This record gives sequence, C-alpha cells and structure tokens, in this order.
Amino acid sequence: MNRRLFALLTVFAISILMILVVACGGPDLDDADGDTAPGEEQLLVRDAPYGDPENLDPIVRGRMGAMAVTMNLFDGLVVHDSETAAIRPAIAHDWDISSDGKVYTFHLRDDATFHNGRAITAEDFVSSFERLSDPANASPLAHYLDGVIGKTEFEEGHADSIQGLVVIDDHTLEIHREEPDSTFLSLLAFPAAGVVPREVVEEKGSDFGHDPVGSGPFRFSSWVKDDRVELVAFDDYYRGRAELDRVVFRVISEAATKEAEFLAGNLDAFIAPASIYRKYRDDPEYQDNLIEVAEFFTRHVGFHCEQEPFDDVRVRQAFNYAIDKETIIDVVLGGKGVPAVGYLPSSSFAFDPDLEGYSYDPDRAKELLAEAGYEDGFETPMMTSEHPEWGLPIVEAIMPYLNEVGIRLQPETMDTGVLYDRLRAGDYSTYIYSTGGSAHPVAYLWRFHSTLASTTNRYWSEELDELLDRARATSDEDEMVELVREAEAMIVRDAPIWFFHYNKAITMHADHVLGLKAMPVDMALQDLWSVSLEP
Amino acid sequence: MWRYIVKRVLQSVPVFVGITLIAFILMDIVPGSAVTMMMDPRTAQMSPEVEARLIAHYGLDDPMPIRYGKFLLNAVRGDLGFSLRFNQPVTRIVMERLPPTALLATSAGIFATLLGLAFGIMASLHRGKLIDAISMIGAMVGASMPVFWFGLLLMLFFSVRLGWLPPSGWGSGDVRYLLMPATALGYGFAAVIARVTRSSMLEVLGMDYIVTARSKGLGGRVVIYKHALKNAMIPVVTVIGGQVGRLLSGAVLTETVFAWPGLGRLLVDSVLMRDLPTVQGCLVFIAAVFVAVNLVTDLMYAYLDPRVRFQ
Repeated sequence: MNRRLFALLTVFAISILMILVVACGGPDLDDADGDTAPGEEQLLVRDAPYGDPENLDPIVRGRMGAMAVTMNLFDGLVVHDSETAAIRPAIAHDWDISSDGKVYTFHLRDDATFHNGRAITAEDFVSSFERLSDPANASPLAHYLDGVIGKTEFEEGHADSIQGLVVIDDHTLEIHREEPDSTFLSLLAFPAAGVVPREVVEEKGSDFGHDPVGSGPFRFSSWVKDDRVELVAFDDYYRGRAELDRVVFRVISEAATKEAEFLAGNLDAFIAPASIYRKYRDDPEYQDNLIEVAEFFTRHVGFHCEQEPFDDVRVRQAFNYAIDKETIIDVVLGGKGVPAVGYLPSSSFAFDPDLEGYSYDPDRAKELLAEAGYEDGFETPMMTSEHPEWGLPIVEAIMPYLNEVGIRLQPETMDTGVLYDRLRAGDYSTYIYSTGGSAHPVAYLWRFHSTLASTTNRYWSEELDELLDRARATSDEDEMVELVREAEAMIVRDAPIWFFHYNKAITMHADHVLGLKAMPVDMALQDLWSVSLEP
Repeated sequence: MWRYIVKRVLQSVPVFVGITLIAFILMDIVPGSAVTMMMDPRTAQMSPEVEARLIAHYGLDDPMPIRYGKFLLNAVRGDLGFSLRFNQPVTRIVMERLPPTALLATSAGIFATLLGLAFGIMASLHRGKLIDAISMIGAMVGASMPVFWFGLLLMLFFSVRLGWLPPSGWGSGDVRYLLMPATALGYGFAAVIARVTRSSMLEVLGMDYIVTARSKGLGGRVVIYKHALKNAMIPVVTVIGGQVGRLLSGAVLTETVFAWPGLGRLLVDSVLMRDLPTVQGCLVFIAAVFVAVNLVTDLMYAYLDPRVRFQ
C-alpha cells in the first residue's frame, strides 16, 4: 500500500464522516444543552424519568414514564394536588356529587381551549372518554370508566355511546355511575382521562401519539426518540401561561451520566437513585438541592399465601420480625427509603400514624416458626430482578438475617417482565418487587381485594373485602379513612408481604430551579406549570 | 466479480430467515409479555379482560408459525410490522436510529483503524524500543478496559472536570458530542488492530523477500509500505472485518453511557419490553451490516493478495 493509497483512504474516510454529519443535519437546537444565559429564555432541562416516553397518546400506555410528559400536555376535569395527592379542580372548576354518590356533575370553565385554539366543551369530554373505553383503541387503561352506566354495552358494541355520560350544556357534564366509588375522581385526575380534540385525533390516527395536541400548560414541540422530548408553553392556557418557556426531557438511561450532566450544569433536575443519594444529602453544598418524599411505591417481599409454608400467618409474621430493615435501608440504600409500617405509604392522607408494624425481633421470629412447626427452618426460592433498590442486592442483604432464624433463601434472578408474569400466574413461592402508583388509598389497598388477589399474593378474606368495599362505596371521606385504616391494620396483622420500605423518591435540582414539588404519587409526575427559574 | 457479489447477496437470504426465525422462537419461549409491559407493571392493575383485548388487538393470539409467516410475507414487501412499544411502523423507528448508529460506528471504526495501524506499524519498526512498549501497554489497557468504565472516565474528565465537551446526548450530529463516544468505542478496537498489525508486520519483515528487497538496494519506505505492509494486511483485514460485530455490540454500552439514540439501545430496550417487531427490525439491519462487511472483507482479500480469485 503506497502513500497515495493511504492519502486516498484518509480522504475517503474523512469524506464519509462529513457526509454523515451533513446528512444527519447540524445541531438543530444549539442552546438546548443549557447554555442559554439566564433571563433570556426560561428553559428547564430535566431527565425523562423511566426513559423514553415511547408514545404520548395518553390512552395508549399506562407507564409512568409517558405520564410524566403527558400530564403536562393533557388536562382533564380534575388533577391531583402536587403535594397531598388530593383532588383539585382543573378544567372542571367545580363539581357536585349526588347524595347517593352515583351522579357527578362537573361545571367546566368557559375559557379552556385546546392547543389548536378550539374551545373545550362537555361534548369533548364525552368523546374523549368514549375513545378511552372503545375496544378498537385497545387502551390498557380502559378500566378507568368501569362502573359508568352503559360502559359495558358500549364496549360490547350494543350501544354507540356511553349512556351515563350526559351533556347538560356546553359547560356542564354529568356522569352517572351504577354504584358509588370513592376512587373514581382520582382516576379522572390521571392523563388518560384528559381531554383530546376529536378532529385532530381522527386526522392523525396512530400518529397522534407522536405529535399530540392537548389542553395542558405546555404544547408538544419536538421529539427525537431516545434523545429528547421538547415542550413549549401554551400561551392561552386557562390558568395563565406557564413561567417556563420551554421544557426539555432528556432521555438518559445511565444514572452516572445524569449525574455528570447535572454537575456540568446541563441538567436542571433529575430523579436521583440510591447510589448517589447519601453523597449529596451529606454535602452542605447540595443538601438544599434535594426534594424528598415517601413515594406511593411499597417495596416488599411477597409471599404466596396459599402455599406452604407461607399459608401459615405465623411464618409470614416471623419473616417480618426476622429482618432489621432500618439497617438495610441505611447500609444498602444509603438511607434512601422510608421504613414501611404497612402497605399504605406514610405520605398518604389515610396513613394511620398510630399503626404499629413489626420491629426487629429474631427471637420472636424463631418462636413463631417453632409454633408453626418449622423448628428446623425451611428453604424457599425467591424471584428477584437485579434492581439495585428492590432486587438482588436487597435479597443478598436479607439472606443472613433469615438464615439466623432458619429460613434459607434461594434467589432466582430474572428480568421484571418475567417476574411479573410469573407473579400473576402464581408460579412462585416468594418474590421481591415494588408496587403502587395509585393515588387513592382504597385503590392502593385494592390489590388485596379478592378480585385482584388471584393475581397478586393469593391473600384475601371476606372481612377485608367488606372493609374495602365499604371504603369504596362511601362518599364520606372521614368514614373512608377510618375503614382504610381498619383494612390496613388487618393487612399488617396478616402480613401477606414483608413490609420493607416506601420508596424515598429524590429530585435533585439546580439552585435556580423553583417550584418543584414533593409529589407523592410518583415523583416523576411534576406539574411543570408551577416551576420557574430564578433569573 | 459482479457474479460473485450477486451470489453472495443471494446466499445471505437464508441468514436473514435464520436470524429472524431464531429471534421469533426465542422471544416466544421467553416468559413475559409485551402486553403487560404496556401497563406499568408496578401498578399491577391490568384486568384479564383488558389483557385479552390487547393481545387480540396486537395480533399476539395467533400461533407462532402463523405470526412468523405473516412477518415474512410483510418483510419481503419492506414492511417490518408495527412496534408494540411505540405504536409506529418498525421501519420508521429503525430508520430514525440509523444515522446516530452509523455515525458512531463509522467514526469509531475509522478512528480505531487509523490509530491501530499507525501504532502497530510504529511498534513493529521499533521493536523493543520505548515506542513499542508504550504502544503495546496502551493496546493492552485498551483491549481489557470495559467500554462502560472508560466512557465514564472520559466523561468525568473532559466534561465535568474540564468542561470542554458535552457529557452526553447526540446533539443531532454535532461533532463535539461525537468525540467521546467514538473514542470510548474505538479504543478497544484500535488496541486489537495495533496488536495484530504489529505481529503480522514482524512476521513479514523477517521474510526472505524483504531481505531480498533490501539487498537489491530498495529504500526503507518502499520496502515497508510496498512489500511488507500489503502482505501484512491480510490478517489485519480479517480482524477488522470480524471486529465490526464488536463495534455494534460495544455500541449498546456506549450508547447507554452517552445517552446516544442508536440502534443498540433500541434493541436492548425492546427486548426488555418484549417488543418483538422492533427486535426483528433491529436484527435485520444489524445482520445486513454483518453480511455487507463480510462481503467487503472478502473483496479486500482479492485486492491484497492477487492469488485469491472469485469463483
């Protein structure tokens, strides 16, 4: 190979590179990495929690990663409060519930419009709800409208519309239910129950999820999959224009990369994992940059309550007494976890501060095991993912504690998709997992209701069903809370799971970011309308 | 030669069928379903009726052979199906990822080849000297250092400490974003090339015809570049061709560390989400790259060694 050939090859290589760079287009958003001088444009760059949102049609996915974006694009009748998860007005400025709890009358604002400028009417909610429920759209969230009169007939094709959705006038909507349900409003506060402009949906078809038009504080601007989603403020938003002009969700899967971007000043806010929590919490320079909340996710070890040995309540209680969860949270999670008393997280308004859980008491655990006939202990497999906060590292940490009382774990590592399907199929003895995400306390405990128990822990009782049914049916909130607390006490007593911790969700943010909230439902669900940047 | 190329392309058809069939069977055997992943599985609230409806809607209730037959029929028409994750045609999703992946792999490959050849040749010409030792130590470090770790080191140093380069993202092709990922991905590759080049050059330089060339009074450069290098290149080309797989698999990690929106990340996420159509789409494209690179490698042999003839 002579020099000329070498030179030719080099020129060839460089030109390929140039062609590629040109073909791919130059930098389209030159200030998107946060170089903008403060005061010019209010631009927030945050992480896309849980990765790329994949689809921004609010009814197509039930994943939190998509909701973190869609909740800023789509408004519904009501919304969850960013700190208490209580129900607040959105497009409905007010609502009445009939005394039997079956008829909801929503009074809509007359100044709400879609991003395309068209005014929103009650009719739009009807068509949006029917779209959510229509089997042709195969939404995984189609159950939101369960219990509304005529929904089943509509689903089965016997009716063209849902009878229980009644338009009184342009700004008044009635929803008639078959039975009262205290959890209904909470479902309507999620983005899937948001209002969508029918004409745009029909025009775009499946592209709607990639170029959405909603009614929220921000409108869709651009999206490079696995790279970034951009939203811009909607000027005519009915609550007033957002302070931020632009929001960028950066898709970064590696936590260390997020940290580097944050330190380099390119990322204004991100959800921090346990691996870096303590470092920043203990650093005087950063401790004011952390927002923490006991999130509505309960990390637990679940037992198959219909199989030996976990069909015996004493064995399940012994498991709970055997482990020092505070130490594990401190050592393995660097303090990023709120020790669980029961299943319902401590940040829920229905949480009972007087409820007593299980303390670390290995002697009591041994006694209980002996009473149950397991003096010599037993072996049991445990399904686990490799998740750092509710997977293999935790299993490895609890094994010595359990060995101490005679329970010998055999971990089986698998990905969460497999774990979840085996859990639903009942093909397990124990597993470690994180569940939650429901905002309403009754909905949160519903996995222990007999209707769902067959796909969870196979633990239920008629007594518990009755408490949960009553809590769901009552329209008196105090009564609901009382019943939830009774149900929770029963769950703690029967210990269908090892109550490990409520996720302590952490948002790390730069000094100049104001208004991020400690959102308990999921820290990722930030209402960015109230966020601003200090000049 | 053209007949040979056409023949080779036709021979690759069974490769595509085989790859997609194996992927189909594997994804079918693996537990976990795309449908339950559409719901956040942590909320654990998908009712069996909704699940059944989704399975029917996405055509997942047909027996495996029928689904595979449908896939093949559509694939020959250029339709790779509809992604379960994105609700978008797979071809469109894959085409979106191609520019970033091509840019990353090509620049890493070019970087690695130039660097590897240069250091390999230098090391062989100065055998036992300081430059040889430095090159070979550098090559050993490169060959044994995980891409993941090396990438994070680069990021901490050049972005966080010095603030010279953006830590991650692809910046729509902006070269500043490309430098670190391409270096991280190319380094290990360069190390392999340097080592093979050095040993191959040393072997050739000891051959009789090199001695003959020198003894008949040819200058050092002509001997090295015309007589030695061309012959030494045959094993190097083999290694480069074979290592393209490494570039693509290493790209998965590089893309993850540097938040690069490429094919590797798409493939891994789609496997985790059980999105078979997207997995198939990625595999078809990756297989096409392999087939093309192998073909080019074989054509290179003929250029380097005129005794090789196409049949």
